[in-house]
Order: sequence, then C-alpha cells, then structure tokens
Amino acid sequence: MARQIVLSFAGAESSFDIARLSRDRLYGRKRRLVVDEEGNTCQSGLLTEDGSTLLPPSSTADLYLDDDFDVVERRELRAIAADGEEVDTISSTLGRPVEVTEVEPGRLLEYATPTVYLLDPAQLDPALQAKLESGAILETRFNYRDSYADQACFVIHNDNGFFALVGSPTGFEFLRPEAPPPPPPDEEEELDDDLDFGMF
Amino acid sequence: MAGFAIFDSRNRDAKVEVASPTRPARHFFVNEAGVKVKAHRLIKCTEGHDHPALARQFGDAEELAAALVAGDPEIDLELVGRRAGTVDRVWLRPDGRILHSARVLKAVYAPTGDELSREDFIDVEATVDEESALPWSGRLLPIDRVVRSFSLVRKLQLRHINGLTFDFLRDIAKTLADSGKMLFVGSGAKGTGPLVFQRNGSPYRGFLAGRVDGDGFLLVLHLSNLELKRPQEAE
Repeated sequence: MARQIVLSFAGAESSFDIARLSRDRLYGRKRRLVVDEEGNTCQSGLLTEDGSTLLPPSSTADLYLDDDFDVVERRELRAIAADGEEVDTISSTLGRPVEVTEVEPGRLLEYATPTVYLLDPAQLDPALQAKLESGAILETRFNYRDSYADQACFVIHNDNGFFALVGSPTGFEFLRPEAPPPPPPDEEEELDDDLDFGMF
Repeated sequence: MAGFAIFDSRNRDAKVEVASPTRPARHFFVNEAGVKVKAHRLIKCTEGHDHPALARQFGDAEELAAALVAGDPEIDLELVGRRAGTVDRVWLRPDGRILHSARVLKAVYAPTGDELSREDFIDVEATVDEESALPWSGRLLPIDRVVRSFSLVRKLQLRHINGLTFDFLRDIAKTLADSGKMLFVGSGAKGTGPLVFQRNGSPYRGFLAGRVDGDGFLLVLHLSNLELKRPQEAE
C-alpha cells in the first residue's frame, strides 16, 4: 500500500497517496561517466591516504562509535541540542491526520521547498477539494519518518494535479542601514550542484 | 558563491553579496549512558575480497559458496573494522584495477531511464558571476502563478556591501513590493538563459521578490529547477 498523507480540514479527513516528484522523472538526467580505453564504464573507489589499501565501491560503512570504539546502534542514540537539552523524537506524519490551515501565496516565499510530492487522492473530501481547486494554499507539517525535526508542507493544486511542497524556512531577515556589514559568506555554503538536466 | 552583479529597472548595475538560508539548529548524539558518540567511516571490505573479485577467483557460484562455508575469504582480517581515515577517490576498471587514464563522457537519459546519447564531456561554465550583470528582464509575474508553477528549491538573499548598494537593492525591493509581483531573472543579454552558479552546476530559473519594512528591505532570489508537473509515466 502506498504511503499516504492524511489532511484534516473542516472536520473531515482526506487521504492522498504520495510519490516523490524528481527532476529525473520529469526531464531525464545527464550523468558523467568515466570509461577505460575500451569504453567500459568504470566505478569509483577509494584509496587510503598511505596508498596501501584500495577500497572497492560500497566497501565502507558509517557507524557511530563511543570512546571505547564500541558500535552504538541508531536505536540507542539520543539527540542533544546545543543547550544540552534532549531533543524529542517527532513521529512520522504519514498515515495519520494532520490539520491544515490556509495561507497566502507569499508564505511560500519564506520557505525553500526542495522536496515535492505528487498527490493522488485516495479519499478526497468535497470541501477540501473545492478549497484547493479554488486556489487556496494549505499549510501543515510533514515528517516522512520518525526523526528529530519535521518540516513545513504546503498543499496546492494546479492544472496538473495536487502537490505537496516540503521544506524549511529561510530565516532571512530584513536588512537595515544601521546594521553592521553582513558577515563574509560561508565557504561551505556553495550550491552543491552536480551536472544536471535543465528545463531550458 | 560570494556574490554577483545585477541591473535594476533603470539599467544601473551593481555588485552585491548573497547569503544562503540559515541552517537549522544542529544536535549531537549520545549513547544510552549519555556519553557523546562520533560518526566514523569504517572499512568493511577491501580489494580482492569483494564479490566480483571472489567470483573471479573461485570461478563459479558453487565453488564460491563452498569457500564461504569453509572459511572467511570475504574478510580481510587485517583491515576490516579499521577506520578508513582520509581517502582519495580513484576510478576502477571493471576488473577492479585502478584506471590511470580516464576518459570522461556525458550520458543523457530519458525520464524512462533509457540512455539517449553518450558523448565526450564538455564543461558547462557558470552564467552568474561578478563580471556579467544579470539583466532586468522586465517580466513581472504574479506570486501566486510562480508558486503554483514551480517549486522554489533554493533561495539567495541579496545583501548590500556598502551604503550605495543598500540604496540600490532597497530600490529594487521597493519596486517589486509595490508591484506585488516577482521578477523573472535569467542570464544572457536578454535575461532568458539559465542561471548556473558554478561550473557544471544545475541550471535554475530565477524569480526575484522584494519587501520593504520602514527603512529596511528584504530581497530574495528564488531559484527553481523543478516545475509542478506530472511525469509522463504518471499521466
């Protein structure tokens, strides 16, 4: 059974099957390939710093270790915030009803929404359908799996169907003339692009 | 990227800085005893002990299976479990040997996954920099139309570098705020080309939106590389 988001609106629930909308599915993709002299596709591997050990693809594992070099399983981990307080786990929102509220289109400009789901109605309440098809944008919370942070989710409708746009607030603030000069850009903030396929 | 140059509606250009969204608060992990733990990359397999190498060594699956039952040929007891430490990326031939002379190709795939073409890779240069100012396209689009047509996947806040650029950017923000619309931003002389921020980077469409609050302003370039459409397979 497909995973679903369940929206609660005006006392009624509607459920949608979700499918991730990716650029690959819309436009296809471009990929860099490395080949040998005969045109055979090569795979990337790793060579340790001293040059003594060659690690084939998928030959490493990322694990959490304590000071005694013992592996700590993920289920045993507890997240601690910078202030020392334990961070609560937030349950997945999939399969359980979440309340929606109507927002203005400008609200979406305060968020970057890199994750988009195509919504296929499984059970659509007429009131919600009418609301969305009239142009309303509805906001709720989204968490694909249990984690330490959920995200904002905006549900919209256009000629192509229903979509859920998931993302985080930008945190941008107004700039003032009396404010100190902005800090130098973070060198790690480069756009982590790779060769990609365009809409152009 | 540190910044780029952009024109305003009066055909004046200026270099400005950009900032990415603030990162969410970070947390660290502890074990059940409250002791901080660290993430490590450990070696789980080495050259000559992975499946392709063992398959070559033992010839057929029956022989390999028998060897796995009889011993541990897949485990390099000297190295498995050690930290990988600093590593360099290398390319490996199909037989596992290091490739010393690589040829780089660009393969294009259809949405179905079918390969359409394969040709020598040529770098795609950035189209956004401090030298070639992004033009004022004059194409103002309703906010509702933009957010309903595109997912705005990245955002860059345009920031001043001195008093003059503060006024310059605030004027742009006010122009856009008064119009209640977003400005389409593209590269090239006509502003119709893709925005590519670094060599071989993704091409984006840009939409500039501005707000003013007293003497302050907020000017954000919203970037999209994803239209809100149904893939053909889903239609």
